[in-house]
Amino acid sequence: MNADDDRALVTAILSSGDEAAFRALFRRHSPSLYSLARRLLGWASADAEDAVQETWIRASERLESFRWQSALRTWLSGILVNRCRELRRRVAPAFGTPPEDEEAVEPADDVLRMDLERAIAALPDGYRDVVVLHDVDGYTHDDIARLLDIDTGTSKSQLSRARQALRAALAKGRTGESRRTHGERP
Amino acid sequence: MTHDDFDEPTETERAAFQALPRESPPPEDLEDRVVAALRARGILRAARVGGRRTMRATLFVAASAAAAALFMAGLVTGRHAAAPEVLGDTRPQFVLLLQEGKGFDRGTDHLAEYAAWARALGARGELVAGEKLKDDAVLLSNGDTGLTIRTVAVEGAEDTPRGYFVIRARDLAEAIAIARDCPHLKHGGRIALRPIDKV
Repeated sequence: MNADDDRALVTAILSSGDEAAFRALFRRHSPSLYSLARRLLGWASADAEDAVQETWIRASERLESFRWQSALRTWLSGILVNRCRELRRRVAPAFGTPPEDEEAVEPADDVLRMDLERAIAALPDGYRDVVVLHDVDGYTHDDIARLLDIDTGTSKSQLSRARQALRAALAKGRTGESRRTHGERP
Repeated sequence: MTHDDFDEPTETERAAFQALPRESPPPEDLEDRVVAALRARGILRAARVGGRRTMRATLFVAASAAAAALFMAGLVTGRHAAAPEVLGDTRPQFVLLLQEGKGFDRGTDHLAEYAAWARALGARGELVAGEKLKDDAVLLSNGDTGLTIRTVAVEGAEDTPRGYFVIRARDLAEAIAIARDCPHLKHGGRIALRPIDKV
């Protein structure tokens, strides 16, 4: 991903409302924004679409004020995270199901991935936000503190608790699976 | 000791997180919807075809003007308005199904507005056809007892199309941008926009 390309596209949009430039920018960043939105919203696809659409509209309206002090992707993610939090406050949770066919993976890996996705989706919102941004999308605690408007220490403590909750959930799932395999009641 | 020191993920956990997909393609029409919204806000401008007017474009405008004239005739008299085809125009076509909905204002002077809008579409080469539909419909169905044909009244049926336009647009975003200016919306009606699936 070349930041200069982002700058060139943004410049074209700002100077002449260049639709082709916007479409290129949209295609470049939307797959990761959509993936992030689905995880943060518990795989509710309609809400994730709303979040991505609103992110682009808000970003385009404020594009002139973007100062390139962070990567464009980080800035867009910040707008997306805020929209996801608004949606979670406004609507009842509408958890969907993590997709099972998006990547070709070995069956064992697939089971592990699905378990992990489900465990992430079941986390409380605050834990989920931090673990998705840090452990899945690779943001630093400083980035997360800015994105979520919390301090760095809170980001770290939330991540620690989120990981513990994930381990507990995955261990519980494995125990249940083992019991079922051996004919025991979960 | 920091939380990070205390709670670093194991290699297996790290690998599991790294295996999660970080991208998933959004629905195909999302891009067009966003573009339409940004055009409506004046943030984006539709790409224009530059250069001199070609023979194809001339034919196109002439044909569209003819379609607009036919639309006028059809709108006023209820006759069918056939749309001339323009060779080489590969732009997708869309149907705008005009529904009345609960709050629709059936004023008597709307026809002139619709006709003016259709003429403007025709002048821009965007109109293929358009008609007002009468209130009666004939319903044909093939059931256990064979073919049944009955006349049904559509009066009061909110979702039943009361008229239609067929338009040409570069993509869904442009079709939405065209449809949002239709006077039908101003009068409280609804428009179901359907891309034509050329087979």
